[in-house]
Amino acid sequence: MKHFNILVTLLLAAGPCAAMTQDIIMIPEGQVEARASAASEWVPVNSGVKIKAGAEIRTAKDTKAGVIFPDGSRFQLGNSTLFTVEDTGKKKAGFRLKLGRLKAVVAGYFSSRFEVRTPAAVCAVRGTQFDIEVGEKGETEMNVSEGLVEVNDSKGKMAVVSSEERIHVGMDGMSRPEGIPLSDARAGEAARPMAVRQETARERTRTMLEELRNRELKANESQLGKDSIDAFGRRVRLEEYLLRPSDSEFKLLFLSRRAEENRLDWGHLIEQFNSKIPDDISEVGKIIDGMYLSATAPANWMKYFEVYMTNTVDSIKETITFAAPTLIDFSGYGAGVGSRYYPGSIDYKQILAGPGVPGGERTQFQQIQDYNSTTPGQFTWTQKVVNNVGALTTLEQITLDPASSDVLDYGYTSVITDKAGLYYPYPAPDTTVNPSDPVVTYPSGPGMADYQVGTTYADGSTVFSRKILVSNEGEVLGIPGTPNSTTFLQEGSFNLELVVGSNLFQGRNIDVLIAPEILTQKKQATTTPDYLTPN
Amino acid sequence: MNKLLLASLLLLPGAGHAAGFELQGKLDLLGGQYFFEKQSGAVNGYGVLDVQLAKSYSSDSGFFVSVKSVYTGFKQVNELSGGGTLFQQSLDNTLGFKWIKRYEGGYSLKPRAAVKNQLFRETKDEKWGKGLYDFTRYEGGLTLERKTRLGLSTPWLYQLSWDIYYTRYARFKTLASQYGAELDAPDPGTRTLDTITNQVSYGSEFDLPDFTKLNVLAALSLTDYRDQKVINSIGEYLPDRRSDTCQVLNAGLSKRFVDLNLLGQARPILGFSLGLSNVISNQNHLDTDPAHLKYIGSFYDYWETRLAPDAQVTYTSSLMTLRLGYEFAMRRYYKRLAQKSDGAYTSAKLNQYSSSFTLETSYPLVKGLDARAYGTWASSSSNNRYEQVYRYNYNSSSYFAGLEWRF
Repeated sequence: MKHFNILVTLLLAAGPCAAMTQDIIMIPEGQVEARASAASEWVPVNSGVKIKAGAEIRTAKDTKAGVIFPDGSRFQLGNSTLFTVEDTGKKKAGFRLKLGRLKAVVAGYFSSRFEVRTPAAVCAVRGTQFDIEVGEKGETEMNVSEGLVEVNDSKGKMAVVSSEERIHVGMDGMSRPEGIPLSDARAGEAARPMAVRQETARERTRTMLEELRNRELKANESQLGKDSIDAFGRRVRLEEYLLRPSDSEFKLLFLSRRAEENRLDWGHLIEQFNSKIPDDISEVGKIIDGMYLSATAPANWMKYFEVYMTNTVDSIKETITFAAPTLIDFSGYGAGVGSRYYPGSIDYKQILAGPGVPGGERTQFQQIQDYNSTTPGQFTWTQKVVNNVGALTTLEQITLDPASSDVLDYGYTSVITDKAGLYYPYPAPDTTVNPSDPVVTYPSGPGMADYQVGTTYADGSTVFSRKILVSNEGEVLGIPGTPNSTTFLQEGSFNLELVVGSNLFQGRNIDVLIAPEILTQKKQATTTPDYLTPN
Repeated sequence: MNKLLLASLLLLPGAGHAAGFELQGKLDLLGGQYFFEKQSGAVNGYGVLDVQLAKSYSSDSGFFVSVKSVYTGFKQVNELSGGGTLFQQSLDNTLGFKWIKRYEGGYSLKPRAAVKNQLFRETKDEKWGKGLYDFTRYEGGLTLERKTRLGLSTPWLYQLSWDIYYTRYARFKTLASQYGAELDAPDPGTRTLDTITNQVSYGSEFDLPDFTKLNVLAALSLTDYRDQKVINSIGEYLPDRRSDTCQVLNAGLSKRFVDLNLLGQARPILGFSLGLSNVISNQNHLDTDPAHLKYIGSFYDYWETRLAPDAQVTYTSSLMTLRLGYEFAMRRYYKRLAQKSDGAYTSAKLNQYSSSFTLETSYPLVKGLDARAYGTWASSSSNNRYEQVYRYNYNSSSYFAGLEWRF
């Protein structure tokens, strides 16, 4: 009954502040005395009670008390201790240790500011474990086990005391905080939980620098286009190398590797020039431009161009051989054009090779344009294809007179051979030579940059090439309308996947991701002069 | 009974564990999704197990073993976006050991060793353990720590650390090294991503008055690419190996303010961090695209600035926390040139800007168990318009939510 009365007394003591205060429980160990305020009488407490602001607790020589806060914070009051609860508000929780010893584990959420006052010091507590001892003369010793306590003395000095530090605050002010010696029983363990957490965090901060470097390595691989996904969802690793076999040529080697299929497709681009080319290969574009319709004799020119692609078993090679630029009368292009330099001949071949190709290798298609060799004073344009017995045979041969405007009007001046029946008087095609018309399909459907063109030759052999613009994510580019061969000549935000197949490849195909510019250069090199416009 | 209650207060730190090992850690189980521009990845899981097992022999010696496993079933914003894929799963496991030896006067020596293995599935045709970028990293290090004071008022802890990292990409070899002999390819090296990094760092932590903390970290790293040869302007690979030097200076300041009455009693903590870094490399680059063949020396050299303000609020009654973070980073390459959309090189040096907002919340359900949710939105922009193989200009976002159990 007495205990009940005490509880009621302490609760009532809070009075008008009840709505703002939070429950704090005091648990005595042995005979502990408490009172609701300094004006009240001390009464013994033998079991847990709620305490409010103003309450005082006094332990005897052989008794202790615990104080528990709603946020989990805990105080242990030692022997012969005099302790006062001054404030329990949300903005400030204040306690006074007048004498004795207090051990604390403070979570820090009970109040915005959590303070323990002694006669000599004010200790503002963060999330902390510490103990304070106040002597008879008010001098204060504080040891912080874990966390931080901000201590102010009566002289206006302030110190933040951290884990395993102690401070003495006398009535004449504080001493410099110092570390608790390792030999002291109050020193913490070397690998205590908080220290381990902090050390782990510091180590991870340092290691993060290496993590970021690893990420950047990978990003660089992507930025350099060394890693992509093809239109069929397969990871493709790409490598390209520039080689300089001599000072007048360069070779670009490109490799496409699909590890999961254990598949390598590779190829190269070779450009050979008449004389030394600059170390800066980006300058060779100007040399190539100067080969066509230049008003002055080119100082250098390309002699040979080759694109080669293989799946390591089958291959397709396209070669272009150029004769030296020669001065040609291009007055048919307009009175002011006059004579310009142009390659004396351009010989393009498409060569298939593989175990299924008759003879292991053969030229499937050839296109030659020469000036003044076959037809004096004119271009002769010749197209050859494999015929019904697999022999390379002339399909079309026409002449073009660059000095005649007929070149522009009709594209030819005379027809020598016309086995496809393209020119007036449109003879019946020769089926022993004439291949099928190109068959165009759109494997991904309309509106997608996926275009396939295939040709069946007179001997039944087929060659198809499929071009796909594909993102790094492996998605095919959507485009307005339907694609055509020029769709794939422009650089853009997508990779060009080129798939080449033939029924001579025994079910295999060649599948490379290449720069669109390789196609552009090839097209440029095989364009007849009637499609060119002189500057 | 009262004695039992009193004992349960556990006022003596570590008293209950002195005899043996201390186990602490957390387990996160979350689910989420990643968005890149208008595309969305599949909803998938994210889990983290992070454990430290510690043993102290005394106040001056002890050790701890740490284990961390992270499974990511979806990509996150902070991961490689510009060249990566929506589909990504990763699993990384780290095992670490650290010895702690303390001396009087606040000195400590902390040698360590660790190994980390990271596995990726980035395309649907890749299987676990077969990822191109799977790597194993072996780590070692030694830290000298001093705990002292700056004047009367401020505790000061600083660490001088040397760390060494050997990273091996088990499945990454250059194609040229595998097939080069038959293709007449040059020799760029074989394991061109494998590195050894020696890092020396200095870190300081200051506990300033008024609930203010200041952290500073300065690091110098020398990364040696064991098998990546330096390329010259005509595409030749020289005997010299690539070597990068990286300098980092990070500083962070945070301050806890007085509780606010904001939908309950809210405790605000505001922070700000600043990072400066630069990389100097001896590696160059030759763009072999026939459309824009270009040699760029010192291709990888850059400096970067990073600013990150951060605000966190904890509701003291429920212990629910809300954190809003923003980060802005600007990187300028010294020599790398920006390209037009068709790939043509401009005369301007390449710049990259990135910014991200992160909103994070946690709510305690029971002691040690929190509900957590994260959302991040990020934007990247650059003066580089050439995006055939890598995206420099994009928006991405991700969210994930679930439970965290701390023990």
